[in-house]
Amino acid sequence: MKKDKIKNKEIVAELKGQLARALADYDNLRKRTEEERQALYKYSSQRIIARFLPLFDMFEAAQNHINDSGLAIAIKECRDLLKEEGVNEIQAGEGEQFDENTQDVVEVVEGGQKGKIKEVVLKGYKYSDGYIIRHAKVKVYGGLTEKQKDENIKKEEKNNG
Amino acid sequence: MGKIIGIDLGTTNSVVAVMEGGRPKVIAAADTGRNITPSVVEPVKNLVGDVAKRQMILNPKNTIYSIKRLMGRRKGDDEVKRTEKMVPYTITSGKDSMAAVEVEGKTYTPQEISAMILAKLKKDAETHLGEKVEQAVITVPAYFDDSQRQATKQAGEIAGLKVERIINEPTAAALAYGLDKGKSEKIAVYDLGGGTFDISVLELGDGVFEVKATNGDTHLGGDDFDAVIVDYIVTEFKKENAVDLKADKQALQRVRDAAEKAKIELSAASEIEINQPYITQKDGNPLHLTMKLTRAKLESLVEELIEKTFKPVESCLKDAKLDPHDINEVILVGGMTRMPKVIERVKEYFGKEANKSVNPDEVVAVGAAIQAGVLAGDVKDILLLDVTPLTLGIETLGGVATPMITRNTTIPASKTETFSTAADNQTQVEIHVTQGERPMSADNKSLGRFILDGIPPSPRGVPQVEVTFDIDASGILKVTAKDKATGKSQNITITGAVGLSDDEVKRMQEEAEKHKDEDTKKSELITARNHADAMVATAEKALKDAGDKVAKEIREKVEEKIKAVKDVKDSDKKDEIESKTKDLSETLSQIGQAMYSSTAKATEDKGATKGKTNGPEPAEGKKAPKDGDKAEAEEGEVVS
Repeated sequence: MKKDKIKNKEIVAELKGQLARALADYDNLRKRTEEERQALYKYSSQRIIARFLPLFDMFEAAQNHINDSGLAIAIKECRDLLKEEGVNEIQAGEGEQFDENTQDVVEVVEGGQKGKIKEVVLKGYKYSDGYIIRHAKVKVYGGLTEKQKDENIKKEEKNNG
Repeated sequence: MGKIIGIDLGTTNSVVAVMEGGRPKVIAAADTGRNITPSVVEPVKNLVGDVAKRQMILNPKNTIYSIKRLMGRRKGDDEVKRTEKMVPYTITSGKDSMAAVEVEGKTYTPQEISAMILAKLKKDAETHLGEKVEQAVITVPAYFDDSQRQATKQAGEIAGLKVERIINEPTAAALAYGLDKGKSEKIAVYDLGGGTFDISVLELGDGVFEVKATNGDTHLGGDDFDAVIVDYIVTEFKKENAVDLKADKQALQRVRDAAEKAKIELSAASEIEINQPYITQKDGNPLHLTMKLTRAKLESLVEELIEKTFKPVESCLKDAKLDPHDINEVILVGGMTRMPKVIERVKEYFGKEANKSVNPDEVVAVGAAIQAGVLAGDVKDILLLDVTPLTLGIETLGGVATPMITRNTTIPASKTETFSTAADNQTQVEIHVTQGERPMSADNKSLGRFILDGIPPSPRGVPQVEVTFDIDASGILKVTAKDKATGKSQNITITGAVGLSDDEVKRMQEEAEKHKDEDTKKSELITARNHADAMVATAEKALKDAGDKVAKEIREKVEEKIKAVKDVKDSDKKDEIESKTKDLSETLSQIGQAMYSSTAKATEDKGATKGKTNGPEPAEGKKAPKDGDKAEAEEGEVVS
């Protein structure tokens, strides 16, 4: 009898634990679902914008080549649309310091000051709250090679001497 | 006790998962929202994952990847020597001549580098769960020796994780498919990842997996497939334009991206177009890369690589002393196994369809999470929730089966809905409980019926009968009907509402599928008839209520329309019933300002389709929403 009682107590304790865990799981799920729903709403345009960006890149590439006044208007309209959706270009310019949080190095070019951007190959875009849709692709200076450094020293020596 | 997480610590990518509500859930990285984290670390600035990968080529000497190849190995090992040739960072000899890496003059053990990856995954899990995580199950390749396993365990400890268990990757994959529940079986796990190929044969006995044999190619994976596609594109472009894209790094990068995209898209489509305008220039003129690639072409390009995987497979089976047909289950792991050609070849080789329903990038982490759940006590029989195999409902006006608890609902579950009567002065309703997917009650399985009487006599649609379905965890269904006005209630308890045999469930589902079209037509006809009935009742009531206020010619017109509806309503001509009902509805609205309130009521009653006409005491639902009406009407249009 006594044994049974102890055993039952154990079972009750175990079940209570499992119930508490299940309820906690549910409560956490509820909170997170709400957060995810809000994020989904906020970033629902992201998927389509991410697919639209390569097309926009093509327009810009074409414009660089043919410089057409009509296409210029179309590009401006596209840009306005992005702005209305809260999408901004990631700031990245020649000579600026590379930032791995918003940019992606695709090529390292010899010379210059190591870590400075040489060229933006592909523009990056983000939402105004900083959420990144596409990282900017940049070419970055890798600094002088040992050989170039040696040559520079030699040059200097020559000048001095 | 907190949660235990499951971690797939991979050569190229790592994944973390956790049990939630009895199910494994893969956790997305907090910074990227992606489920996989590249196993890349920049230890000086402590960058881990995608952010480390983005700066990799700028800081090649400081960025460590493929650290798993060095785990628990000596500097002099062949694999270490091979890795040394492949990577730009410095591999050095640490304590006890174990392999380590050197970054900016500081030595890091592979355990420390791996710990940075694990720490990031731990943090992602904590962000996701909103609680501290201190325990983990980590997976390792089946061929890892004791020293490599020890190193993995230490990495966990450095990251602040107590490693509850180290399990084999193929075992984790088998767990993810629930194969530990089966009888004794022989399982082959075919794992083609980003950079490595592994094949393992497991044998299950008494719920324990034993690795019978393992083999593979440590330098064969998705990256090789991409390279072949890139070569093809570059060669074709050269043939056409006499320009070598490989000479233009920027162009080559775009080709690489396009090749990977093409590979993924061709798993679903049979032909795709690669379009990269302004890819390069020739003599000052722009050149565009436009190319069609078919799946057949892609398959012929990578055929050799796929065939290359079968040599280790053969050796592995030989070591296990088994023939391909001895294998009971085949499991696919790794992103490359999404390629239809790989799936096809594996099927051909083993003579059976492979398990591939779990995301192949995540399956190992999922298995690790399941193991973690078992250790934490999350996965116990009592917490395994059952679902209703078929829809449970009641019969309403016109013999329609109105769903109360739809199939696949996790139990215990409860649902309450309010119904009403279908005729004036109806004093009792019959509740007929049915089970099945067909829209008409007669075609479903009858589980039981009872009568609720003593409803005070009132016009149709006025009484409110609350019907509650409640299934407990063991599948016992209790149906209660309660008259809201009198508080009188009646109930029935049905056992076995869930416990159908699998065959029975399958048969009923198949029948529902088979009769789908005719069932839809039938239920549309019933809906049309119910609308007609309701409209006639409304019109008659409106005329009665209005009395002399209605001009004689309008009254006659309405009466004529009522007759027209009555004449057709029992026929099978759905369209005619609908058009006559519509006529009546329009005429009724002409009755004018005096009748306005009645007309409003009419629109409301039009929604009354739920109720039942079984026997002399039909009940009619009042709750059917107007939206429901609209949806039905649209469905009808599609059919006609």
